Amino acid sequence: MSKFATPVIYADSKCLPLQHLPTSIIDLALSRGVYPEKILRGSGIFLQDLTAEGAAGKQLTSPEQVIKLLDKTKQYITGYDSSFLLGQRLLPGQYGAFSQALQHATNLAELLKVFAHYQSLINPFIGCELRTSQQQLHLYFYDAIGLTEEQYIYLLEVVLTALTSCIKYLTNSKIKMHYQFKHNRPRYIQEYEENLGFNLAFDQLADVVSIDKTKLKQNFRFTSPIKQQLAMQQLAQTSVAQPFLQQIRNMIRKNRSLTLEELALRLDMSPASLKRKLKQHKTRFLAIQDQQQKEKVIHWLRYQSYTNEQLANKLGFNDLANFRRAFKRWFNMTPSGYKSTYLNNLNQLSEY
Amino acid sequence: MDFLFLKRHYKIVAAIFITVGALLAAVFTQGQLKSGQTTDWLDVLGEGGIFVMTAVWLFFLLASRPAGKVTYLLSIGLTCFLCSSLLDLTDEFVSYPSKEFWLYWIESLPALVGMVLMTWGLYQWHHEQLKLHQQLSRREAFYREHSQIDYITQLYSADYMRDHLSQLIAEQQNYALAMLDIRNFAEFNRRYSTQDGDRLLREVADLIVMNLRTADLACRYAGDRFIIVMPNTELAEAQEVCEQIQQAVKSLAFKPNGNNKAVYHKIATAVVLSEPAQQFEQVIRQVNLALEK
Repeated sequence: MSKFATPVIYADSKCLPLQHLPTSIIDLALSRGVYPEKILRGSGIFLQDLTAEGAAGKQLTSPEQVIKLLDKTKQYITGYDSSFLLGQRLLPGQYGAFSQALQHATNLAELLKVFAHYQSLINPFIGCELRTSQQQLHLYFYDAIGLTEEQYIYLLEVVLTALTSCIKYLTNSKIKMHYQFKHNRPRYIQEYEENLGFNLAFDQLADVVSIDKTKLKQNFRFTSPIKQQLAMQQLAQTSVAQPFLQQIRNMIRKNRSLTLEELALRLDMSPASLKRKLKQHKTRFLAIQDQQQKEKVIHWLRYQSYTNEQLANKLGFNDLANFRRAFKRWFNMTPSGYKSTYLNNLNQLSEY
Repeated sequence: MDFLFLKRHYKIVAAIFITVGALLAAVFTQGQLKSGQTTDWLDVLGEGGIFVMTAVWLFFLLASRPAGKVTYLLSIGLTCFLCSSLLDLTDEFVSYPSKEFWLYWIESLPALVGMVLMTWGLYQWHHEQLKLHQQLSRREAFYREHSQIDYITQLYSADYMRDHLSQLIAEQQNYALAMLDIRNFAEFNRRYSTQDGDRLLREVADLIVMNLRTADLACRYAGDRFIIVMPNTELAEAQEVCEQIQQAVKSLAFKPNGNNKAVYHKIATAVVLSEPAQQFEQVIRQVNLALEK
């Protein structure tokens, strides 16, 4: 029975320092004339903890608590820009080695790798997976802790604004990035345009940020190979805790025929308690498995133009009929229907 | 809720309490308590409801209006009305020595006086509103929606601007749309603080408004982006206004908190003219892209 060395973050694990996101939220509330008490009510976080000297550094909050704060923030702060304002100054930030590694990266490629690998250190809410295609690098985003759709979109706005504004700051220029979103075009599109740019596509199948490979060598203003190396060594030594759903996802990715029972065994818990844990995080085993496969199909169809046989093969289906059946279950349409819906108008999408 | 003006009205509040207290004292010293069986509870509910609601109106009136003639008229009027409804209510519990008793006699009189005063007050309010509208020109168009006011700049938000544009289209008016954006604002925010950034936004917003013509409307679009709607305007005119705003912002010597050294800012502008029957989203997109270049 192999136990995992990396610690797991559950929705109720105390892992986020009070001085990070919670403090930014309260600062934002104050600058908008909202009483912090209103936002903190019911969250189990107290104002005196935030202001107490030295205590804020040590005290930890759980993802659940922070999500509650964000729900209240959305409720009390008028306007649509609170998620974007929270994102704007989150990165590179002051999160020790992680921030150092971002700040002193030699180029964009390095920064994105550090981000994809270690961002769960400061963001246990939304997971990020790096994929490549011939011309681009892609960051796929997914729910890593069990969020409602509304919470997920809000946090995605925070994370993408943080990444984009950090890149803009460190390169001191505008890098063209392409964004695809699962949700529909919001009424407050101006905030997306202002913070992310104009290459936006909504109603897509996955939440993806794509950057042309030609841009990856873009130089950074605070580049320092030695400081970066030091930071990377430090990061390599710390055990990076993984959000629960991210961990499950990674295990399923490594072994796609993994069953629930095997997974439970590896996590050192009973199948029943694994099921219960998954339910607490608003998902099921099969849903995660499907999500993985779906994402691969989406990526391969969009960027590699595989044939159905190749796809079926890659995903480990024995025959095409089975693949087709699964495909219909995932997307509610046949592969050819999919292609005409999502792949024929690609040029229009990338144009704005 | 933040009851901005309530403390300043302590004299009026005291006067209201004294009046109501005196009235109650008069009623209970002069009249006799009726026995419980004759009480009509439906009447009590109706008249009591009117009394309570009038009190609530009075409360919100005092909480939201600054002192002044209009406020006095309205609050005295409402207080008179309150007295009438109180007498109406106490009638249900108290009986007076005779049908001609003075408390019977004055029961409906305060209500009439109150209504006259309130009517006069509302008329004055109308005039006040016209003046206020003048003060708000270039910040507000033809309707008011307080939930769409941006907290930082006190300009209206993009939502209001969209409504205004669809109104212009419905009236078949053409317009010029200008977009302005503070250069390197994100950089400034990171270097100084968001408080300084917010103050800069507010001051630039004021400068923009000061340089507009009375028919123009300025809104905050998003972040450091402002949008100006100029009805029936030629391109050259609109560009001139933008240049004037650019000049004004250029000479703004902004001092970040705790800094004696001024930081100067530049803004980028772009102008697009609407075409007849063109969707406003398209015009906004055009002007956005023009600014990107």
